[in-house]
Amino acid sequence: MDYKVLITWLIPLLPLSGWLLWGLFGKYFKGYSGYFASLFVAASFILSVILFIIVSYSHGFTSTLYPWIHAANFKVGISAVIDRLSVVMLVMVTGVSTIVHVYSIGYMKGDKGFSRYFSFLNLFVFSMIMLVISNNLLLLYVFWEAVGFCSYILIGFWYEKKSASDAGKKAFIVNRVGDVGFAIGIFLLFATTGTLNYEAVFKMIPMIPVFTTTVIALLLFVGAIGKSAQLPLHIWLPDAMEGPTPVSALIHAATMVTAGIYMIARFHIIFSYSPVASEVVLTIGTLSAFFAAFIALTQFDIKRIIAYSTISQLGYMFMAVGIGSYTAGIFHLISHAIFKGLLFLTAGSVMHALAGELDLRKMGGLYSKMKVTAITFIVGALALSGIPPFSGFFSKDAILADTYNKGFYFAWVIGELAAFMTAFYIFRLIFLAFFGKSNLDSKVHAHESSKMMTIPLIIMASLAVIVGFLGVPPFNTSIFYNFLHVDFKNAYNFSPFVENAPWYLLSLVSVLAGLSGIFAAYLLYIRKVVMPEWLKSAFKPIYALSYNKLYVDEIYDFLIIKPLFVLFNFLWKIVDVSVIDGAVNGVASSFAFFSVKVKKIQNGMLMSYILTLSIGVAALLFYYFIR
Amino acid sequence: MYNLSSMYSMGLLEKGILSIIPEIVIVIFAFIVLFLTFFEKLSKSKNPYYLSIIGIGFSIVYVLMLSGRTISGFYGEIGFNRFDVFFFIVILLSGLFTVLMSKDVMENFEMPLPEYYSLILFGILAMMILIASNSLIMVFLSIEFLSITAYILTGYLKGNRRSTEAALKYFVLGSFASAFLVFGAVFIYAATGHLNLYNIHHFLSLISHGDMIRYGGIKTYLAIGLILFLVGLAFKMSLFPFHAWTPDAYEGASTPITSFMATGVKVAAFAIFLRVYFLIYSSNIMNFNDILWIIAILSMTFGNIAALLSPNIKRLMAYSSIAQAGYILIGIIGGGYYGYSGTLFYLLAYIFMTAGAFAIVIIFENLDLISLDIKRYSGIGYKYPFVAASMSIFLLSLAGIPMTSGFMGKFYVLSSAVKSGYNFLVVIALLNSAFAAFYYIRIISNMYMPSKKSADIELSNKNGSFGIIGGKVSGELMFTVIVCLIFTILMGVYPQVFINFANNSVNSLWRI
Repeated sequence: MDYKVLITWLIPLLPLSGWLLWGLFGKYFKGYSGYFASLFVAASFILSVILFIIVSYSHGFTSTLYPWIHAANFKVGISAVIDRLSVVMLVMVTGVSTIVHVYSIGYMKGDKGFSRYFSFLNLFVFSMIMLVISNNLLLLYVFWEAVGFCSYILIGFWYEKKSASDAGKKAFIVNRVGDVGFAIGIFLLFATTGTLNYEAVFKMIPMIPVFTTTVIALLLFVGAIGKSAQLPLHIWLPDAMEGPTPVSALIHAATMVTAGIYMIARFHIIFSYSPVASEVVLTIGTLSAFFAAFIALTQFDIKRIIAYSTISQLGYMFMAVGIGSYTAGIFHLISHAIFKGLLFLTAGSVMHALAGELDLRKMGGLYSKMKVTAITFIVGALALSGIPPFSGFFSKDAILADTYNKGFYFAWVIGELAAFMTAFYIFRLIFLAFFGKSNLDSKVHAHESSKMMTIPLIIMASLAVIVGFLGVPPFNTSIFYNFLHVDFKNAYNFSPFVENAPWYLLSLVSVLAGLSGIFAAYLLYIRKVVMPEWLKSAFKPIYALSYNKLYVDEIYDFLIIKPLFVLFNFLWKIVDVSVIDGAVNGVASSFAFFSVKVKKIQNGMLMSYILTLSIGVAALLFYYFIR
Repeated sequence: MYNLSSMYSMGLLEKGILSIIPEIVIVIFAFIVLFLTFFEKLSKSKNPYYLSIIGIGFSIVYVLMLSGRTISGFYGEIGFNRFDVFFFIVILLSGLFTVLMSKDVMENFEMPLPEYYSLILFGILAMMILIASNSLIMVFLSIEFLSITAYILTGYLKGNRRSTEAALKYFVLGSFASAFLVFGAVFIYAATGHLNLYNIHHFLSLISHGDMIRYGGIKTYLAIGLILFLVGLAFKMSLFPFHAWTPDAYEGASTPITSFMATGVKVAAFAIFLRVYFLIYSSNIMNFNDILWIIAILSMTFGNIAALLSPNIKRLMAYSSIAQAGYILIGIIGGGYYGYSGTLFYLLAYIFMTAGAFAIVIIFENLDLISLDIKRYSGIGYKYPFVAASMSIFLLSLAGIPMTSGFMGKFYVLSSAVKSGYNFLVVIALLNSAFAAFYYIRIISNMYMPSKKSADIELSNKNGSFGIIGGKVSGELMFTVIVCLIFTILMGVYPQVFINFANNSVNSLWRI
């Protein structure tokens, strides 16, 4: 076998075998399953780097492991497309996974589900790798669902906690909504082109009518909204923080949630041939970037703040792919994966030290107690705020500069405003948690975490400094752009550059936005020029809007769940209680109303059965002759 | 047409015998098992059980030996070709699983065993003849034969009120449906003058090529006949609105028989419907897809809505099987080579996941503590890790989650419908399967994420072979589960072998 093919397939197969091993024989490995699992993923990472080098010195290729379905003239294989886009993603996915695996050994120590945890984590890594390298839509869909399923299991990992299993269910239901759209989009694409292979599909896209392309692109985007937690389907991500923190770092910051951006970048031909769909992507992205940052301003749960920040940063990426700057979007994806993973892992370290405390109001003065965590957290925060020379500056700036130069001024203004808020909320978190007066519970003894956890933090922090330099502005001449842009050259250029503002001016604006955000937080929470309490009462409606997360959960509750629940309760009192006693939650109860009527038909009376049957016959005859 | 001497000279009788050898083997063993009743010693032991397995095994061997041939026996009333081979194997497997599951269950009840096993064998026989039959008369006769064995097996738990009631309901409704079936056959005969399906097919294609004036009057008769015939078959396929017997019969019958009805009877009905549809319904002068289309949507929607709130696992599976029938029907509506092979693939996938799920229901029934109530399943994921994990996979497969056979089957039939332009139907099916996931996942989350109230079930005791405490589960059940599990996963991960099998079988439909 060709060595390239061997390497390609070893990358996903290593974590897959890991899943089987720890899943089936976990109890024999005891505490060592964590080390072995990390070793497997690390091997995948090394192979990915080798593949990266191979691809960067030669050209991409596709490789088929075996033909999966071959019926009539329809062919789909278990096959991989290895081009520059997928190797970049591969290196990022396996790299972050390796670090998170190592970190988890320390974090999950002593948990009774230790082996189970690592087996699911390995399964997730496998699914994510396959999602990235698959070369047809069917395989993509399979692993699109698989990563969602792993996420569902891992969010509900501590199932004893009611909030955890509820959060898992919520994530599952919301993702289901997005996946239906995605599946319909795939079938529509199949109906139009008759194939599901990327290359064949992309070749036909320019020929099909724009309207069809738009509908397909929008349906696919519905899937991306669900998976990447964009407005209005973002509600599952903050709740997903009930899972173990390393899971949040891996799945809900670095990999799974970015699948939507990857998908659009991969299907850039479909999206670029439909300016309307791209406009929608831009709009949703901009709104998410702004409103998620707005919500994060007033939250007190550190993990939730970072979760909202993820939604906001994903919004930036959607802005980038929505204006056709696919390379910039992927660049932000990579740098975000590193600094946001870092932020989550440090938050985990804080939690670990404070025995699971997440409330900002019960922290303070932690800097002196856990220096490594605090410093790495600040590095991540600076990257997030877009302060040079940290990676976030380069990547976010590449997006904002393109937004301006392509003439989307409104989106640019919103983006800069969101950047200001981003800097504010993340430094508010830092000042409240690490500085100032300590509000710790007297029983809690804060301490620095073990080496197993701090070393990954240091690695991630140094990466957050280094990676940015791959995209030194002006972005369009940087190393990263030159490397990756090759893959996007076939995209239809629907939004050409209309301005040529010098990069340093645009960067200056961004940096100023970031710095003023930090300064505002400093004034408020360290110097206490104005008491936050005073601000709260002065801007009460706005504060309430942000604090209550724009009331989105309440709106869903009011519009969808409540009416169904009321109806359900009403009928529940009338009809036999025992019959419906199974129905409880959310969407499930939406069916309850119908179900009662169904039960009435199915009441065990023979006569009514016969009546149903006869009516059916009559209806069929009637239908056939009436039409 | 034929006289006796020419019959011998043409070797018609030999051909006839050859075409039904697999059935003959089953008949012989069915009678051997039945005769064991006369010998008290023999009937008390496990002999009937082993004899049934041997019989089924021999029959499979003969099917495989004859598999390449195309034989038409008994004046074309009975056929044997690759299409039949496919369904023979499916039916025999379903029968085998039923027998394997029965051993444990039947030992719990003080029931005469030889009759029970011979009835199962007769049921298999009836299904095989049904699949092989090429004429309206044979279809009617074998369906009646099948129904009678099914009625008796449903009510086999004597003294059990639910079982008896279910059998009675099934019987009354079944007679109704049979009446429609035979009435429909009469109309078809009246319209076309033929009983043989292939002759009817030729006749219809003749009409559609002109000559409409001469045969203009028959159209109404034919339409009525086809609708009534469809009703009779739809009853066996448990499609809405002819499903009414399904939940009660599934719940009342002992679980192996439920599995037998859900896998065997349903598959056989689909097999003959596929043949009749291909030969008659799909002909140019009658466009029946409009009706089937509505039935498919109603079946899926009704089945899923009703299953969502069923607290009883067997009832839930009954409603889910109505929904599954809807999905399978989509493949037939999609039509063509691709659609039919998708249907076959789905049916094959369906028997493995359904039989596996029912085998696990039996395992849980046998273990103390646990009943058919889904709420009682709470927390058993940690008590019986292997069994619960297998159950999860079967349920995920039924829900159509990727990497399982159910996903592959669904994708196959839905894509065939897309190819034929039934986009709206596919959208409805996708929405349905999205909602269907809730009740399957609810069982899984019940098993793995117990609510606080029931969390007091001790989570220790994880040892024991296959994760079963006390070794109360027999090897047969475990074997069934493992075989079903292997095929459920294999058909999802490496489906090509099975697709080829289905393709080859469908090919023979065109070689008339």
